[in-house]
Amino acid sequence: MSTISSVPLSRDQVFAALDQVYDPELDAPLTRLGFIDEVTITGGHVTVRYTVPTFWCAPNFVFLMSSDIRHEVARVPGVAAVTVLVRNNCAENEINAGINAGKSFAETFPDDLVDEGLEALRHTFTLKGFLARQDVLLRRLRQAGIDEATALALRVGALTPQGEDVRVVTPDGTALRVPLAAADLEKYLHKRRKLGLAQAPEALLFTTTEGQPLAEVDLAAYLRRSRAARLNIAFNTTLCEGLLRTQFRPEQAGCHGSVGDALLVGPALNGPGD
Amino acid sequence: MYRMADGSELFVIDAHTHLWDASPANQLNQYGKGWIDCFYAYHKNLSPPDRVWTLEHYEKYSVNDMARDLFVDGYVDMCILQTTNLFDFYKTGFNPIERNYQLKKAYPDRVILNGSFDPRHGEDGPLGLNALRRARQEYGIPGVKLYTAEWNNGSKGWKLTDPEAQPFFAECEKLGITRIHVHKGPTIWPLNRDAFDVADVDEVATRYQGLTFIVEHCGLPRLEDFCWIATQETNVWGGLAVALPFIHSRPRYFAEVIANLLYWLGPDKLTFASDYALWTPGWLIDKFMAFELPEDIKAEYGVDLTAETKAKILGLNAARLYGIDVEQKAAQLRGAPVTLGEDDVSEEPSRLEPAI
Repeated sequence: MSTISSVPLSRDQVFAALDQVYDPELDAPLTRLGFIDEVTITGGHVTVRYTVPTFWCAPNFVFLMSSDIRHEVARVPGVAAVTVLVRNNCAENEINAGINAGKSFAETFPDDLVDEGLEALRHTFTLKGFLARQDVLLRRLRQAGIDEATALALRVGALTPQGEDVRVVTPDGTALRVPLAAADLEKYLHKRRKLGLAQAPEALLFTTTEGQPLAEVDLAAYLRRSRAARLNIAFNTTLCEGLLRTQFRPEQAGCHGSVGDALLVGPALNGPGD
Repeated sequence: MYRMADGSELFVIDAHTHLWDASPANQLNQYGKGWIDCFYAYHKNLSPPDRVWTLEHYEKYSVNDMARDLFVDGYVDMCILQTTNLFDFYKTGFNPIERNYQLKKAYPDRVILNGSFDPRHGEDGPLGLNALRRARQEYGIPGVKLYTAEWNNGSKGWKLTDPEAQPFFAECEKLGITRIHVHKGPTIWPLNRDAFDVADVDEVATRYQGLTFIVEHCGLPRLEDFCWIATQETNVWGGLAVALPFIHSRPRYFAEVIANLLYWLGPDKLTFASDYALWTPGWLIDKFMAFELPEDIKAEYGVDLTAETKAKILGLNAARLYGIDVEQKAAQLRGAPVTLGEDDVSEEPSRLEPAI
């Protein structure tokens, strides 16, 4: 008996692995977006079936999601083989065949590329996600009464998750509680990690995607663009979820709640006038 | 005309409409089915339940259906018919100009008929340069709709900046075909780039100052990139299809989108569009006229959706773009009430799905 197959395969661990697979454009895990149809485990062989919201979802994103599923699930202890099957896409046959034969994107679509692979595309959307997540967190701080200058001076170590909330210690030593901001902080830090930005406790929390302190940029212009990026992701998320439910999740017909709702954070209630 | 509570009337132009045939008999392959199934999901997802059609009716409707939904029940004074060909998916195309022309023929005073071109067709192809010249001559097209994600004989899309497209834009300027409606679908080639990228609009808008580029569904799913471009380029406008139907089930999303558009583009470059038959204009206009921006959004963005702005979006902007004298047109139409043809099926109960 090999070492691999002797490890009992945990269904929870497979789902935890799937939680790490994001729709690159919507910046949310497939598990939360409701894309996953079925996970079957036979011995060490895991089969994941999922559905994308439209037949015309960009095949490059679909390939990335299938590829990430394969990669993440394969890391679960006890998994010997992974099969990933997507449906409802114009390129599903090519993608399913390519992914399950272990082929790269370029090997799957040899005639359809120019220059580089998919990482540049993924990076573009990581940048958009960064702006959106940062904007949400800034808004949460403002809503809790932390003014802009104070927020921009915060170091990573000044914020500590406490349950669903975040405890913030401002530079002058005042401690504040920011309600329901723990998930937003985690998502923003996740994006900073993806971009290789400083995570150390003494690092400035709010920088551009290039690491420049926000205190040094034209903040109003910067935030207007972040706001549009945030809204775009929210809009696409609720649209895609709706399209999926309409066609494939009849039991959720009439349900309009969305992962995107968490991005529609209002402006400061009592922040400095602007 | 939309009649306000005070008795005054607003002139309505639906700037993005189609007369399509996606019936199984016309479907060429799985892509033709995939196309209309996807459209139907958009329709069903965002329409109020009592406004949802049956799939069968959605696949193919008549000139009379369209006239009733727009001109009788939908407040629409004039509509702009946009051409979407999809010859790789449908035997006789989805809504090529010849099909759209049926509505123009029946209601010449109420319909603006646009054409299209495809740079991959060269000089002599069915959507090539000569066909564009013929369409100008035969139909007097004042504009075109370009669908850059169209498949064509192995090609999976094109860009406005392609060298082959440039003679077409030059010809449009020369012939007075100056309204260029751009529909960004998922361009599948090259496959490793963003399929919905709107950057090419920026470049051609700068290059062809005599043309106006109306980006349908305001660049969604790339709203932020579109807003940025439309702010830089005075000749880039936005059509409100897709964003507008959010007004029913997700009004907060609609509020944020329209506030963003008003902030970046202002009230003078936005056009009302039902994208018929994606959605029907009647309920969209009812909801739009009743809609008010929430106070917090007004305060944050510093914009408002006033009655004046609504009038511009509903018709005055498109009228300006297409050179329509609204007072004269309204008087003309008032004297010529809409009559539906003999194959009227408005009473047929099977049109609408039973509300769940």
